[in-house]
Amino acid sequence: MLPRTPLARRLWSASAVLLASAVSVQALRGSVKPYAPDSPAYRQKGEPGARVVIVEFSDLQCPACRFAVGPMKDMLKLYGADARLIFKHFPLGQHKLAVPAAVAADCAGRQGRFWEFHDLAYENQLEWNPAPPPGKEPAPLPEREKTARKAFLSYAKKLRLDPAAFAACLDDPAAAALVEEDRREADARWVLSTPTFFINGKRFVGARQLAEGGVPWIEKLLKEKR
Amino acid sequence: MNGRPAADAWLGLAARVVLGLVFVAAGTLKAAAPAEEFALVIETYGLVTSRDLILVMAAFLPWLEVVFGYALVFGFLTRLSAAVIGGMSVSFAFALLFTILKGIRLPDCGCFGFGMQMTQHGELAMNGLWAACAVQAFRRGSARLSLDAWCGADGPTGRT
Repeated sequence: MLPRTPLARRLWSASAVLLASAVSVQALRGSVKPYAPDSPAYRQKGEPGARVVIVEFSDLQCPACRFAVGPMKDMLKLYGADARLIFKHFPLGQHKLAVPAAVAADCAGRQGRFWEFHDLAYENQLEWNPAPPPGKEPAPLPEREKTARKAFLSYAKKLRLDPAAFAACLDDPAAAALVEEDRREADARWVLSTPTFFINGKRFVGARQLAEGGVPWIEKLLKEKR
Repeated sequence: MNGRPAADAWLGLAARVVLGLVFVAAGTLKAAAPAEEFALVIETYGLVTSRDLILVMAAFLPWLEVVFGYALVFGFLTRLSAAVIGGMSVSFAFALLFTILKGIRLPDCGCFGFGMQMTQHGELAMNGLWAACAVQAFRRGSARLSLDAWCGADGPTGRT
């Protein structure tokens, strides 16, 4: 039965507004199903039993991720055997070369050189993904893909990988499927931007949140577990 | 019945519902996601520097959008809701203008929780449009199909 007095009607209306708000947000949250596949061993570094586990969702074409590489290395050095890093690919939709780059890094990983390729890809981001000249449009995508592939093959050569196996892997649908699994996991964990870090489950988005909140959080974790 | 006030009332209803739905969608996408994601967007604007304040804003603002968005859709506390949403649109517009003048390149305005990407000028124009809708909703928003009319509300927060 609907209320009759103005006050009761107002209370009823306020409740309807609040209920609709809560239901919308909860429905959207509930629509995302958990998904957490294992990462290949070559994308993990550090002791298996480390007390601090950092999961990084990153995009090899993303400049902000490039700037986070140094601080992350420093952090791993600082915490030594206490920290373990697991890298996950999250190629952003607007970065059209991020998927081929992720696949290439995994192909290097299959030959045991993931981290070396990861570093080369970030250091030379502007080589395989050159910025267009000022005031000009970027080159067509097939041309950019060709440039990137050529650069990835040259990094493979530099890292002394088996060139035929590496080239075959670049076109292997299984390698692309592995990247897609990471993307599905990122969606399931509400990762929206890169780099995003989970340190023992706590989220830090971007280098600033990592720098300002990550280290104190790790210190707290280590103190608690001592 | 004079045609013009009637048309004005229907326009008020349209402005109120469209604006409300836009803010419900924008707020829901952000409120459902972890606050740290929206916090990154707030950081990028460079207007707030305190990490704690940024996290509080990131957790609080999206809910404000959802609640006042629904209030507009249902026509409850219409004038107050239109004022709050209009105030938010104007504030976002000023924040965007600040980034444009400072030359800060936003990866995303964060308006729709990464669900939509526009240029900063496009976002600025969009916020101007929402502010105009808020003015119309404030003026005549509760005149048609509103909970305010059902509640018999008067005064600054109710019937226009």
